[in-house]
Amino acid sequence: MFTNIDQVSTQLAQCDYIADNQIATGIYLALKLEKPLLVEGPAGVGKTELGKALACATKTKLIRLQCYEGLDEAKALYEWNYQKQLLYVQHNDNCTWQDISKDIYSEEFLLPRPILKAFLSPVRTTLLIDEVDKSDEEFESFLLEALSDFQVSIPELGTITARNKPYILITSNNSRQLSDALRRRCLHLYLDYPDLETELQIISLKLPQLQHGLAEKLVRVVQYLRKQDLQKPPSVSETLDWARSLETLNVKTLDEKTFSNTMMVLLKHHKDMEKAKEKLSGVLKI
Amino acid sequence: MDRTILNFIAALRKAGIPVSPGEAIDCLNALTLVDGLGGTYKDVFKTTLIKSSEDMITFEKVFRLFFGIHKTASEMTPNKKQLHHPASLQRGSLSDGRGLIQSGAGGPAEVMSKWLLQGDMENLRFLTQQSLARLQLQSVEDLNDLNDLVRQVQISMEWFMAENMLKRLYEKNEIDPINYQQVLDRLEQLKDYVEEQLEVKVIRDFGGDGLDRLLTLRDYKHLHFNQLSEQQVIQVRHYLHKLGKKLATRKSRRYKKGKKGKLDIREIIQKARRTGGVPLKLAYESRRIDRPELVVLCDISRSVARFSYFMLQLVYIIQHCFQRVHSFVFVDDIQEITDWMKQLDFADMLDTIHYGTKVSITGYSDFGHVFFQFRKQYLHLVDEKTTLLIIADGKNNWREPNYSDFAHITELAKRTIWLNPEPIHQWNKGDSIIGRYARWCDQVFECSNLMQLESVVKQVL
Repeated sequence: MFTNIDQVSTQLAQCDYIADNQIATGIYLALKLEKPLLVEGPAGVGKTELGKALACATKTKLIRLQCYEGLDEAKALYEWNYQKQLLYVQHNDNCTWQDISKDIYSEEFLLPRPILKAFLSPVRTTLLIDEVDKSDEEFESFLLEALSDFQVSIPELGTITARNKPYILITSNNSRQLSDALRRRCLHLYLDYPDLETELQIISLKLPQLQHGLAEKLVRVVQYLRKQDLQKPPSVSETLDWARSLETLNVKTLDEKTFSNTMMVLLKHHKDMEKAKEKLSGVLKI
Repeated sequence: MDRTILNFIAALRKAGIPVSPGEAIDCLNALTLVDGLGGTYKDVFKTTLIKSSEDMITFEKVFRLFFGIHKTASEMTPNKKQLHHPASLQRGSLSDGRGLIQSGAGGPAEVMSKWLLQGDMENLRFLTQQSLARLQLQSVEDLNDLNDLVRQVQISMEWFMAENMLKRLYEKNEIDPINYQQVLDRLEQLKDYVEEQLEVKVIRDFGGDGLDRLLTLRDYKHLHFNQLSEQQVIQVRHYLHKLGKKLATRKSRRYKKGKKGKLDIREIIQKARRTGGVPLKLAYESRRIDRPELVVLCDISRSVARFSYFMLQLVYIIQHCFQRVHSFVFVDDIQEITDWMKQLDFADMLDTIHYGTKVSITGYSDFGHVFFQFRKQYLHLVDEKTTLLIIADGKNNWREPNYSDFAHITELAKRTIWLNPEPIHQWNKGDSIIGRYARWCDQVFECSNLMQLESVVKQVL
């Protein structure tokens, strides 16, 4: 697939994702060592985007599993299609017991959910397990077998091994401590807020029409805001939204009035907005 | 080569980062894959060995200590010669003749501020080297508090004076925000440099023992609270933040599978699908956990302050898990902070406690007086549902202990728990009377580092 780490960066860039050396190394090792990659970081820095970009770069189908509390085996792994089984039994009244019991627990009556879908797929896929920290600890236990050996045990069918090992990417917002067992099985990548040059690159890539001077100024403002003690520092997605809104409003220069009008795109708490207003009057003059 | 990597992994373990043998194997495999293909060793280590973001800071330090020694040990020698040259120490001129301090510039603090504003990092680093050279280190055992040594260096550089000067200038609007932010960034960089050079000095002077000692000092989970550096305090705060959230959500989960109790209709119907709509197996919800009431008394005298602040942070995060939380701080006088806990955010609350309370008249704890006041003014808050949590070291400074008031208060409460941040071998020595107070407590715990705090909190709350 990829022969070296630089190739990973270039391929991801072609799919509109700017990846630095750390990200490229993480992806490369995950693919080569056939281990899942656990991506952690604050909200909005591009963890889910990385999954989508990976699928695009490796030209595989993306299968997404969004986690939430109460997510169990039936919704993540597999479920038997009970209605279909009942109909089949009622329909085939005249068959022998052997025939029915063999047929009823076959793949035809199995409803594969995302993880099993990824394993049974005839082509290689990318499995994105999003926000695993929102699920509970029991769910993590289900994941362990699937992630380490790429196989699923279904009591009636036996063990199903993956036909093509999928690329697995797990994201977490760090809202709770993940179990050690899960962490041991994955390689780790921490995505932090980007620095000035990288963020500028991202904006130029996604919004090529935006004037360079304006882009640079707004990135500087965002970088400054992140260093202040805000309740929710602006993330990369918010920077992009802000840039887009400025583009839509046809703004040529960033002054105090424009900032106060468009601030709500960047900052989502009232207190943060007040803090920003006090400090930025000096900043914007530069 | 493998041996070096394994030694590095051993160093990480000494610093408190758990690396399992499986991960070590992953690391070695990964290195063979990456060799010469455009990746760096550091990236590979980060991906395979570091599994949680709190360990990142510790990892950076260990990496620098381990792989940076050989490099910096050789880099140090030319500087050493420069520093010992008498001319460079006298009127502050560099060895090539350039004058370091311009005439009429004033003391070191002013000079430092000037360089900070100009961004003259080279001169600032030189100043650091000078101050470091003046520092005397006796033996490895003295290295209990790296923090303290850093502070000594800072004081000899008149760091804090320079910092205050610049802050005042900013407040008078003589420096604009972006410039001031740059100055703050430079100060941080310089502080990292001071720590780094201090570590190099330790390793140069004490060799392998010094390295080991530095590594154990990195392990923020097992260090005593008072030994933590500022950066480690931040690491601990992050850790506690997550712990608090975990405890908070643990209690508030509404649906929980149980073996008996209320019927869980949703689960029963789900299961009934498999048996043609007929519910054959029943499922239950466990009862919601009864929310207790909490009264917290926190000693904020200097010996215990750090620990108290961590506890206050925890209580702040999980306060909505309790029916009622009443919090108090005290030294020799008691003050209720319940409303501030509820209304202000954590940083503002700490400020208000600092400046807005009059809990400290003499600066030394006086439990007797505190219990007397509590009984007089706040006894109505304690009833048979209350958990009374006392956070103090039990050192009463040889004052009147007042067991009777304490006994009266604890009899009314459902249970009394005392958390003592002093190491257990120092209990009941000197003016510590924790043993006597313990007669009326249900449980007394030692809480001198993060690991102990975590296990105690999980048991108690």
